[in-house]
Amino acid sequence: MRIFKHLKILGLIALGLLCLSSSSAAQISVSVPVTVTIIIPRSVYMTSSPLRLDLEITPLQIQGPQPFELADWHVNIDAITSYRLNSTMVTVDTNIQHADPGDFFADCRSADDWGECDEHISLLEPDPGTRRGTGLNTAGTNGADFRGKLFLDLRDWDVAQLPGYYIGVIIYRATDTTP
Amino acid sequence: MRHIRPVAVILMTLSLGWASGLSQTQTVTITVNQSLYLDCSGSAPITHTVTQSDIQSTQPITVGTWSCNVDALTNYILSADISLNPTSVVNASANDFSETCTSATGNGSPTCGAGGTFGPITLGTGGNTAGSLGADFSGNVRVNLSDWDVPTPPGIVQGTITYSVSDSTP
Repeated sequence: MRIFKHLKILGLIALGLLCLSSSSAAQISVSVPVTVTIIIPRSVYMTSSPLRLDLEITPLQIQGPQPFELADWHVNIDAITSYRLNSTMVTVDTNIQHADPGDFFADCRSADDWGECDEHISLLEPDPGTRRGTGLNTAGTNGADFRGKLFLDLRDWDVAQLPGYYIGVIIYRATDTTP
Repeated sequence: MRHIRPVAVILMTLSLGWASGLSQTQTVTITVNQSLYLDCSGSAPITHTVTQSDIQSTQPITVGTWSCNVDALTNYILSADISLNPTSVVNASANDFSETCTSATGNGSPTCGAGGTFGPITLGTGGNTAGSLGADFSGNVRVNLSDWDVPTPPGIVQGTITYSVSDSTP
């Protein structure tokens, strides 16, 4: 009788093992790996407008408060990084005494798509005086639009030879600010 | 990762003539070593270079496609997961990647799953495909760039998507 009892227990253990075995069999799976590579060759794209400004000084501008509004500027930035926007100016050619980039100023009045204007207005290095704004990743938008005005102060100029001319270049630069 | 699920079917036929003293038996054994086969050779390695247009597009953007074929003698779930290599791109993570299932055809009533953002996602389900070339699943691989910060271009984010098919028999 005792032998039969032991056989019964062994049978139950065997049944249990069988159940465990069949439940683990239901977990079968096969897997296949595939690699994905995303390359980001540039983290910032920038366009500015207008590309060229041809302006003629009028008597009203000479009579008005200095500095006076000269033109609008606009920069669009597509970025996959945080950045700051600076603009600086260099003189290309002039026949006007004392005319230099220090007579020009630029403010920032609006920025969208995670961009933010800065209050500095200088076009002379260094940063942060030349900083027009800052921004973040713009993915999923048409880019951050920074807009502002360009100003000129004529009080220091001496136009000895007519026509007087001043030719300069404004350089917009986006710099990565990732800590 | 291949597991063997042996299924044996033993049929014994008894001659009806046993009562008269004549009997004969025939033993038939069918062994099924594997009940699921997964072929994702249609999912070529993906290499995508991000353009300005990609940044401007609605996120996530599609960077490639995937396709897998399943031969099954059981009910199954087709799923996928991704693991990323270390990268200098700040905030790049597995949950920036996602997949959709756009097509499920073939025997065994294959059906697209919801897909979605990684961790593990279900791409589809199906059943026994015997008598056919299997069930074909396909869809898109997508990535959302809106959280990334690339401090030093070029930034490279690389990962491995693992497609798996598992028995779903209750």
